[in-house]
Amino acid sequence: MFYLLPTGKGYNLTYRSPKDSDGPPLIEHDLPKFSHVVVVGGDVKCRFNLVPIFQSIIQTHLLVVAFAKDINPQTLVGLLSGNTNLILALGSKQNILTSLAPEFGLILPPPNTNLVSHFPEREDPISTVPISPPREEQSKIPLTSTINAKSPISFSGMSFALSNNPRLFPILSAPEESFAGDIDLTSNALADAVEKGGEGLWAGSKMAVAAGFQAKGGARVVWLGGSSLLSNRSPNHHFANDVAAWAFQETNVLRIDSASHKLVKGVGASGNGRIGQPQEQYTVGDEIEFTVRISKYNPKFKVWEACHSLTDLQLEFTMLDPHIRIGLPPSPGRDGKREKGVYRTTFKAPDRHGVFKFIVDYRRSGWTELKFTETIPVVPKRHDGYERWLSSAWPYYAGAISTSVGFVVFAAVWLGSADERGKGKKKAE
Amino acid sequence: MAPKSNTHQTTNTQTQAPSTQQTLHLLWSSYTNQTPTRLKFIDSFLVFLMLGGVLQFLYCILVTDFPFNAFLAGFGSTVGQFVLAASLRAQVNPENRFRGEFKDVSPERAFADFAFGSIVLHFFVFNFLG
Repeated sequence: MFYLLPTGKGYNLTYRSPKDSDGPPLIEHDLPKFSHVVVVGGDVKCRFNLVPIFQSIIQTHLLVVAFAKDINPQTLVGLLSGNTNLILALGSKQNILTSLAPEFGLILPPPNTNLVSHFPEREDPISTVPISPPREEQSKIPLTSTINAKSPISFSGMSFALSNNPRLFPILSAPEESFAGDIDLTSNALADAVEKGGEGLWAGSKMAVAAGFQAKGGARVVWLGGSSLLSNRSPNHHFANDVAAWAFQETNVLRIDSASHKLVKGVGASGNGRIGQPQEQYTVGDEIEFTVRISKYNPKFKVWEACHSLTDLQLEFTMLDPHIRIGLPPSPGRDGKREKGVYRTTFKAPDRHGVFKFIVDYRRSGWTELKFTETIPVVPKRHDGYERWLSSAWPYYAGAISTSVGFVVFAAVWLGSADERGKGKKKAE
Repeated sequence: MAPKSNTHQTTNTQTQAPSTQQTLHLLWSSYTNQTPTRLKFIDSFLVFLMLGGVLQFLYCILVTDFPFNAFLAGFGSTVGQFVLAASLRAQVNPENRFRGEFKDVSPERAFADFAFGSIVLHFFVFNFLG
């Protein structure tokens, strides 16, 4: 029934049984042993006492159904800081995952409740809820094959509410008419809730049955409301594949290949920077061009491809606060050549000297965080770098010149008249 | 300068107003008649400098004092030239020469001092101007 996960993608699987404490440890010598770990907090009823563990040549993941001694919240968090990706499937029973979930901003309904829906009318039990995948543009992660399968995912398990943690986002929301309730006493729970005016009823599409979480180091975590989402029955296996592809860093993975800056107009470093060259320092008022190349991983061909589709990239030119924050749009091409994956912008260095930073900081739910920082000093103009003879000062120049001309004329007339007087005096003598 | 006597004019219009005009007229005629031509020439230069300074000061206040060094140079040149011309006037004034404190200073010496001072002044002004 279970555990398809990305087969045929070169992953090497290692399984560990629930109570098997002799299996390969998750962390050895402070280093994570696996690239990816799947923990299924399955019910004890679960047909598997075997636990599948995935391991690959390049990447490794581990699948655990229940919990041996070394699998506890601390180890799982330790795995995250070691950049190991996790898929965590909650069971309806209390276990370590239910106590770990609030740390990720998940708000779980009371214990022993399942997601229940009476709609649409169907033969399945009410706790097996069909959920149609979100539309492509609304989904934070690519659910292409799930959406293409065009049939609703059948889910049984628990739903949870999401806190406003910015690193957390829903992958699959519960249907609007569904609610969390005890399967056996559904009608009572509903009736109670109705009496209280709906208070205490966990219902509606604000709840999620699958959520993604991105850790600071870039590790990805997927929380699933039930292990049924990992079932190998169609269409759930499409969903399992899509989610696993995201969690195991195959889709929505970006990287910055290179970033550069150069002088477009101005004086550059120490007053004699060459136009079109990167400078080790810029002068106040220089025009600077900043270029960054971004690639996206293509899991189909296992190559990095130029990514030209980001429209909301920004560049910050920061000294404590961003003095400049401008869009970094995809380049429309230069000199008739198309430049795929190139983002470029030009800006004028602010009229403020100091040690600045170029910062590209791109954080979007579901995407790899992009972060680029480069320190660059901006120096004031040299003493001879300022403009002279400004038009606004012409009255002063005119004043000074008129005074000088006045002096010359005055002196000439004075001496001339003195000459005449001298001649006059001499003649008189 | 003529005293302004507007307050008195309201009470004593018929006697006071002609007398003010007369005083001014007297002042002007005695200036034109008794002042030597050379001093009048210096005076006109002084008026010219004063107008230049006033215009620059107005421009500074009403429009812009940027670049400030240009204002200082332009305004300073008119003020400095005014001071130099005024001292030249004091030294070549015959009244001072024969009775006052400039007995020992010949007009030629006074003009040489004036010219030297002015050239030094303009040297600084044009260095400071741009």
